[in-house]
Amino acid sequence: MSEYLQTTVFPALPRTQRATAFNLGGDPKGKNFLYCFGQSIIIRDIENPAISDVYTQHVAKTTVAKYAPSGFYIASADEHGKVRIWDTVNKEHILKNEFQPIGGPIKDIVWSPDSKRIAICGEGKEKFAHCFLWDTGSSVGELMGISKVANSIDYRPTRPFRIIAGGDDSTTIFYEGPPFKFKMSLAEHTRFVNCVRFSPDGERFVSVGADGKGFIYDGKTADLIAELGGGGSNAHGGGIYGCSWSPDSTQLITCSGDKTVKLWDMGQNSMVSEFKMGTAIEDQQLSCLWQGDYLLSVSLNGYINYLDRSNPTTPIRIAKGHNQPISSMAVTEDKSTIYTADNSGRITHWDTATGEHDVISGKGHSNKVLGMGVHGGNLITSSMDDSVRYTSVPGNEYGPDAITMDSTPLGVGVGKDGVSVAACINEVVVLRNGRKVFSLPVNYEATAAGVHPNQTQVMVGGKDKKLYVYNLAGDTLVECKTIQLKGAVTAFAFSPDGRYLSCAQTSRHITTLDASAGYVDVQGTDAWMQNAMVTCVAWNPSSTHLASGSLDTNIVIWDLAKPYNRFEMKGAHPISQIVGLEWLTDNKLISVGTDNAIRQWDIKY
Amino acid sequence: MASGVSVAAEVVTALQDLKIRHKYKYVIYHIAGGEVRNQALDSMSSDDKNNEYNTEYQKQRHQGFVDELKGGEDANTCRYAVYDFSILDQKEGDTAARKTNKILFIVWCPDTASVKDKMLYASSKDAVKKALGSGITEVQATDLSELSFDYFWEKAQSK
Repeated sequence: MSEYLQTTVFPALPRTQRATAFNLGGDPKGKNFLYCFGQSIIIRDIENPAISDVYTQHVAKTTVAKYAPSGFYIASADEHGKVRIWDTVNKEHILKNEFQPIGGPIKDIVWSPDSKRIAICGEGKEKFAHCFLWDTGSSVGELMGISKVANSIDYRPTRPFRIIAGGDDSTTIFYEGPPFKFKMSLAEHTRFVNCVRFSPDGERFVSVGADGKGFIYDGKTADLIAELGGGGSNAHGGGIYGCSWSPDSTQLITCSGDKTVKLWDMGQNSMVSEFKMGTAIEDQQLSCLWQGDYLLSVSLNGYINYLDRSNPTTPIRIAKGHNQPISSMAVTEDKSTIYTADNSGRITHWDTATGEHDVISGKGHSNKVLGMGVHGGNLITSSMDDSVRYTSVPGNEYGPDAITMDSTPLGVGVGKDGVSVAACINEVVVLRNGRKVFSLPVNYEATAAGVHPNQTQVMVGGKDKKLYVYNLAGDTLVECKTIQLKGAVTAFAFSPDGRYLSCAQTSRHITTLDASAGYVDVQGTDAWMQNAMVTCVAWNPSSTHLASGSLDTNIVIWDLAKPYNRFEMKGAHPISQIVGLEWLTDNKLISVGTDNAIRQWDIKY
Repeated sequence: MASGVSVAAEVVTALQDLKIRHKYKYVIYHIAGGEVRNQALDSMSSDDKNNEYNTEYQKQRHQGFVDELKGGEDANTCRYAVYDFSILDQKEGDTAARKTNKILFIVWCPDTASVKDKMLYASSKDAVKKALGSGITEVQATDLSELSFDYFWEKAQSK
């Protein structure tokens, strides 16, 4: 009986967009926090960010998710204006209700303190904000008076209830209810309002905007109390993207495009401390959350910074990873470290067991990483910036030089002793310890390369649907054999015993050849194919099973002993293609998808 | 908003009073000082309430609205208005007419108005409409025939 079970997942970072505020969702129990990436909602443990869960049932790009104050439900929304309310407690996350209050992207969601009503805002065709009962969907008043995209909405946590909404028309609208009715519009800001938040005791609320200002109002009457910081100068030197109150309502944090987060004393209306996050554009702070003792803020590059109130200069911890789609993956021979690289060229290394991770620093690839492999202390990467890099591992810094290629290296095959083969568009290049040692011009477009474990032969796949086998004599390549395949090769995998070669192809086929018998098809494997282009293949350590991943979101495990059996892990990465696979042991598989989740699976067959 | 004209809060409040509290029969807006503001509020009288679906009465009432919207005999000014229009709606196949109310948003841009005025009102229309929220039927009127009771009636009928 074949079974599989996901054991752990290392998640993506929040999706960010320059100069666009977004919202983190806090957990009323103080345990987790929520954010969005791609079509998923990520539930992450605040104390140990390696623990996480990914909700993948949205069909459009997700935009915001918030816990109900009761802690039992999460409401999440997407770019099509759909709100899904689902169970937090069980693992399947049963859907309780789905509504579509507006026809465009939803920017913010808020629950009423009794967990009965939900208010949303965003960019609809006719309306920009809506408040409804979560169980029936019937509306609770009409939120009128907004004339452009509303960015932020909040619900007064104490009676009498109020709703505030702020947006691109640079006003904050104040509603009384329920049923909610327009009461007044507050026009203190001169530019977009990015975030509006009631204090947890309901006494006051704050609005912050792209004009770098914040305003404090009375929570019940909306009378202007003061400008944040006294009004002598702007609260921040750049647009303010978010604010979050301390649980006791005495302090506030604001995060801004001037690359700082500021902590304010709301009794004195004065700044307590300033957290300088850096000087680069990617250090702009787009969202912040104060939950229990934790102060989080998110940088433009997606990093989640845990701020330290006693030491504002350095964060306690920074959760890193990828917020661009991951494009390739490699695992060290001892299976202790996973390397992942993304479309921006960022490379992260992860501890397989604990999820401890960091980004490889220094000047690295400037574009998408197309292929990578790791062997004997060398991490070899090929990138769309037309270079191949050798990075020594374990180590967290890029090597000094990039080896520039004459054309784009689409794939790289890695062998022992620092040998690697790069498949470029019009040549095949042999590299040894970071130096180009041989170049063979070819008249086909090479798409992938592989090195046989015994280091005698090199495989190159061509766009002309052919497999070229070369003998590796010293550092030179001598043509040996050409085999007709069904599609262009996207990836090679040798079985660890060196006997079998599997070729993932664009034509959906996985061709498995017997390398010991002159590359003939292995009997029975002609039926090995998936529903779309196969992107990655991996042999298990004992060379009995092959795992393949595809554009069709599925992983299939093939048994060499029973080649007609098809053990499919359907939707292993829901709504996103699989980009990398690797076995840790015969029963443990790692997969990476464009949803940027790095999943580990227990496999029984 | 494209014209830089903003919508005053009193506009939304007035609509809310008209829509939810039925305080007004109609409200006329104009652009003054770079802002859309209330120009005239016409309160609902008890007579209005008693004769809500009396077509003859409503026609008379409508004439008052048209006169006020037009301004004087020679006034060639543009205006916006929201109008709580009551009709007896009878669709094909219905046995009896249904008493319904439609909120009409009227954009009055007479042909004889100055080009500058027409441009200003046309480009600010969207901002006003968005601030007023959903569930409002737009009626564009450029001459008197398009302000007639029958024309409004036709627009207010469900499709």
